[in-house]
Amino acid sequence: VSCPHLEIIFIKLNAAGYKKTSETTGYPPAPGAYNCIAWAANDSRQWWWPDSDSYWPAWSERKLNIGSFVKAFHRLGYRICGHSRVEFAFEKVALYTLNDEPKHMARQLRDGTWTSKCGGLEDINHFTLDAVESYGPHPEFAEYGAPELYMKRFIPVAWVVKLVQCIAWKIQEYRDR
Amino acid sequence: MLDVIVLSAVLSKPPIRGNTREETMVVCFDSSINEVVDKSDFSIASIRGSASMRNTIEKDLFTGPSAALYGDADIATAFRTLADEWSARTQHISSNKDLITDPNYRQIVKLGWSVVPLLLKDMRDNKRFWFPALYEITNVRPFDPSDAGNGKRMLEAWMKWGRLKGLI
Repeated sequence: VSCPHLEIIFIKLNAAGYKKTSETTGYPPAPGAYNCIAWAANDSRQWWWPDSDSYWPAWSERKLNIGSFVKAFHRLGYRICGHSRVEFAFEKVALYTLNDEPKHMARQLRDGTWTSKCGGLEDINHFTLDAVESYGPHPEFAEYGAPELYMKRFIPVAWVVKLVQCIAWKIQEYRDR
Repeated sequence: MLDVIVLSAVLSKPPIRGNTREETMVVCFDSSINEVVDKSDFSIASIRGSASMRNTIEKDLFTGPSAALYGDADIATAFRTLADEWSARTQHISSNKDLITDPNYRQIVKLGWSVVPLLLKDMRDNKRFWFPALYEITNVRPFDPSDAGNGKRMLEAWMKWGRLKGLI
């Protein structure tokens, strides 16, 4: 299924190849709104951003810089690595920046392709990392910048983290009732 | 001349007692209105108060449409147009900073307190991302900091605040 509206703002997307994998979710406070950072962290319940109106892990500062993002993902088991190639028993995320400012994150799938949540729009599975590379100008084109930093985590660690996340969400769901 | 008209329109509103940023600004501002309007030679430099206050007033008055330029019906129309355009062109953005620095979002914030009821109603009905705009205008965050990111609780807190203030 193609997304012509995405192909307009991401000029490389069509050439790189992609598949749509979800419907749009909108922004908070729309129920179930989540963004690319949340999606990279396997969370499809909250909108992650280091400011006072969004969820951000307690162990990382709410500052819009690369360090805050690295710290947020460090506690999820990720460590900085040097490249985006597939590595056995590891899963990876990539941080896109523009002028040193974090803009977007993508998560690597087992087959080496990448999955991204495009703001409040759809999730897509893009076949190359540079498919969503973009430099504006807004609003004609997106401004995700380019992949700047890669982090990886050992898959057994990922299982443990996902289990803990799942329990935390259940507790939150119970409290929200 | 335009600045005098705009300033007169802003100051024609009765002063409101309050402790949020804009309300405080109007109260402070009001003390110097007679002098400013009588002289008919208003300039930002003639405003009494701190330099930062003058800067804020100057920025709010002269860098975009303020609520003073619109009637109530116009504000609703302007808000709807700006909001719909903003939604259409920022849907792919994940960065909150990019969302709120979009020119349309800035214009909405500049509409000031008059747009707060519209923001609250739109957030309730259309679930659009007005949390930062509401904070910028009112300088309050009615939800517990630990609820940041919990859209449901944040929305409930803002709605409760809006009802208490008689805005919705």
